[in-house]
Amino acid sequence: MPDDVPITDEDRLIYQLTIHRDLVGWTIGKLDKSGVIAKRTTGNDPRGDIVIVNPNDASKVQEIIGKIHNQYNSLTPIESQFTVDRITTNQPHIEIKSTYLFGKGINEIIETGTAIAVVSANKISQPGKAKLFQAGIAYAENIPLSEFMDVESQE
Amino acid sequence: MFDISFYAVNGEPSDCVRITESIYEWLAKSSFAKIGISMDIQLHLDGEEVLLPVVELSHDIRQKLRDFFRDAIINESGTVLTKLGDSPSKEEYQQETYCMKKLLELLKCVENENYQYLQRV
Repeated sequence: MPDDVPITDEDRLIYQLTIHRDLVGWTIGKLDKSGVIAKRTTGNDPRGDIVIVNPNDASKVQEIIGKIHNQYNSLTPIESQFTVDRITTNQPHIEIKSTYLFGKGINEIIETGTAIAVVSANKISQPGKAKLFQAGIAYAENIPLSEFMDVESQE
Repeated sequence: MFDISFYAVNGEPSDCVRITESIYEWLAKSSFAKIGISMDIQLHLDGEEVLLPVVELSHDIRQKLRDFFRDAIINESGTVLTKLGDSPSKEEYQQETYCMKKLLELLKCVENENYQYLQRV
């Protein structure tokens, strides 16, 4: 969206929806390339945006998301030793975000008990990343819009 | 999933309501998106300084948002009661009341005068 075009809040909400939908599609495409089948959740499913069809793929998914994070971010000391106990669930889901993630937003993801990874087009706060790490949830932040916008066809 | 966040003047305390794409889409296409205008403001959150687009919850804006969510909850409760019938299963109950619970959470945050800003984008 060009900077010089005045946009309303309605436009901005719709734009957030587009970012979110495209990032879901891009993430599913990345997993598919690694042989992991994942699908968009539908309706008001509070468990997350993407469901991993085979729960046994959960740790593979976390490794893929970790690699995606490393691709777009410089490693911090805590991230370079991602050997924390991974969360175990028989309903593994991925959470997709497009705005700054911090505080209660992090807690809500952890409390689902089903989120194994977070993929965000925006920043995750440093304490937030530490909490996700401790909860055994992988994350990838700061995914550039240019990487995933308008990639619906990849699904 | 999406977060609708609420902040005090300096950022903290804050709260957020985690909602599904389906509810966010509904909000985006409703009059909710037309109440107030988001402006970038520097806030202190989780020990970090961040610039976020927020709507200032002036008396007028807060009132309009409160009316919006109250109306939405009344409408939704009618729909939910019709759908649930007399003996819903636990799953049906959880599924059908999800949206109403989220609208109630949003209303509580809007009515909490400790929060001075709303972030929806």
